[in-house]
Amino acid sequence: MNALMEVKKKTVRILVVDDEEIIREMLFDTLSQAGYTVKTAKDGSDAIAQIGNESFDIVITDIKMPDIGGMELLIRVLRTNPNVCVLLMTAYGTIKSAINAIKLGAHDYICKPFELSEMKNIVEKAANQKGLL
Amino acid sequence: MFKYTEGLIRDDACNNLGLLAKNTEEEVCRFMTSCVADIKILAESAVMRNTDMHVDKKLLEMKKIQDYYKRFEDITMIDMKGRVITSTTYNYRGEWRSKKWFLEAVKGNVFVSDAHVILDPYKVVLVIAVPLIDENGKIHAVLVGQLNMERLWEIVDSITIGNTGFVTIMNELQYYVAHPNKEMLFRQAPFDPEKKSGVIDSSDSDSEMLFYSTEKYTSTVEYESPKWQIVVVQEKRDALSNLSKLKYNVIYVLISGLFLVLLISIFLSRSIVKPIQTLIHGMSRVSDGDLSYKTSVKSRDEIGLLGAAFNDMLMRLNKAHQELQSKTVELHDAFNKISLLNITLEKRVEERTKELREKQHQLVQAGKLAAIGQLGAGVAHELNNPIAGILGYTQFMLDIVSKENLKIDEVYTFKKYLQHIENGSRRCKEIVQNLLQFARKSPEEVVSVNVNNVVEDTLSLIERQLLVNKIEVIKNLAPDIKQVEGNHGQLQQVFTNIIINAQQAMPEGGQLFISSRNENGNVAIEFKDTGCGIPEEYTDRIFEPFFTTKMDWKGTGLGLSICYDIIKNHSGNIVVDSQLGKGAVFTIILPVKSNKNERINGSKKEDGADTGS
Repeated sequence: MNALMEVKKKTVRILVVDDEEIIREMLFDTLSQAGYTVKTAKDGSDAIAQIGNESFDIVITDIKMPDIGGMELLIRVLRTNPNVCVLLMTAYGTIKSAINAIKLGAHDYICKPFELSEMKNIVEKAANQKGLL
Repeated sequence: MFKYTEGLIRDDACNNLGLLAKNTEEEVCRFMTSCVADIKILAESAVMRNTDMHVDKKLLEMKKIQDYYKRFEDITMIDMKGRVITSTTYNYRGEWRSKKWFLEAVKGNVFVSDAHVILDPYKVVLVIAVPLIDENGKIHAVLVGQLNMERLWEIVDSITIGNTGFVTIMNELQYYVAHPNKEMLFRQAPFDPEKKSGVIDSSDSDSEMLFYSTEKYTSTVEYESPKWQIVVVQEKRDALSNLSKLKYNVIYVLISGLFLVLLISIFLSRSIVKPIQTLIHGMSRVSDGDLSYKTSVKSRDEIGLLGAAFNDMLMRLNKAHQELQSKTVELHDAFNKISLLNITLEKRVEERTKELREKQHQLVQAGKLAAIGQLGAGVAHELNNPIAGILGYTQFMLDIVSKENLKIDEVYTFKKYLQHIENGSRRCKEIVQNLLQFARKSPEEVVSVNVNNVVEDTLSLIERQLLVNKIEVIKNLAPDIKQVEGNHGQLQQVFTNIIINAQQAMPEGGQLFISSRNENGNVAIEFKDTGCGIPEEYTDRIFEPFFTTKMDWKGTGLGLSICYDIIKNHSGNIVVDSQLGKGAVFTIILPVKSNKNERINGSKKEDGADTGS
């Protein structure tokens, strides 16, 4: 069961997008540890470039970023691949925009700072709902 | 005038005398004519004419006439040879033939002789001789009547003029034949009219002569037969008594006139001069400042009106004066009150200024807090990331540590995680410290400040916020920028405010150029954005308190006004240059700190400001 799960998780490809290195690193470490295939992008344009090269099942992105923000990224990603599950990270002050984002098609959102378990739960839930696990 | 009047009166008196003389002459004439007529009628009577008639009969007729009239002393009939035929009384046998009256009568003329005196008995008589003519028209005798002068005298005496006037009759020889004073009879008159000088001819009568004596007026009428002069005499004083009466009248009139004039002048002086004097007195009193004075001028004329007007004026003046006085008093009181108020006002102003200064400090502080609030989102976001990292790594490590079969290799990976945690914590510390520094910095503290450091400190709090709002910050800070004297926190507040405004002016992102430079002993810091700009009409008002264009209540309208106050307190200046749609340039000019102060304060305090960078 665990082994199967691990194999399944390995097939779930996640892209973490954040301009903050520490967040990127931490999510990369955490989600990799959890068994997912994780890649990181340091900003929106980097993310778009990577999405163009390979397909991702889940995109976790910060809303506030220089260059292309989380919202724009969400719209662009859904335009090219509506099946991609987009999770948004937001600070407490921008929770309104997170709700807007869900209306636009985001799968879920998580408030910074968050518990790691919380993040892992959301990702797992999303993967389940997409039928990836 | 008096002379003229005297002349008139004298003429009148003389005329009166002349008239009287004429009247007297007429009287005399009437009397004489009547007497002559008596004798003539007798002579023409049939008895007397009839030569054949007996003498006794004729005498009887003669006596009848004499008795009837009782004015003839004697009537005598004389024949042509001068012998007395018969006589009623005296029967004189004188020599008549040589007498003038006889000669005239014989010639057929009636003759009236001058008055003369007969003796035994003494009588004054005159003779009327009339020829006796017979039936044949031949004079056969002469009838002679001796007329008693007393009858004439009675006429003359009966005439009186005034007190002294009288009538005399003079004969040709200037003897009185009639005079009120019987002793004067047949005496020579004392003046000769023809020889008198100063005779005034009366123009209306040639027979009248007016002459002037020092004492008397006389008027003379010539009588024809006998040749008499009827003289009316009156003393001048008497004649002119009317004049003197007139004179007295005139004097009386004059005196009463003078008295009247005196009265009138007194009245006038009372009614005009006195009131005027009173008015003058009143005016001098008033000019001396006695406004309570009231003139007693009460007449009904113009002076009274003037007095009333003066009183009225005085009353008004008095009223005005009183009003003025009361106003002055009021004014004085008001002035006192005002000066009192002034003192309290000064105190209050002082207090207020103090309060205001405090308020301003509070306001600056409030503005600062507002800026912090506006920074808040950015700061929170900035804090969130390292905290999220720290939290995440901590949990990650805990997960690893809590595994039952912990491998030693895994623990070695901890170093990397702990490094992340340390970095994250340090970032949090910096952010919090910076924020606290900004919030805490005393508004009073004045130190030597490097504006470049202030710019960096400001940006450290806001940079990320600008980044996420897609605003590119391009810095061009002069490395040799001079120190200014000021308060780090306050300047940071100003910069924060301007930067946040710039960010709000560029909702779609843009560029923010921040530069500093030394300029003519000043330091200039310029913030230039590519935002929506400020309408030109607002650029003058943008530093006014409560002026805001942010209608959605994003702004209090105080930010820039507080900035303005802060920069002014730094003896600096803040200007804005902007056009709608072309961005805005805020330039802050601050005076360079003088060397003297720099030496005293040194760079020791600068360290505190540096910690934010």
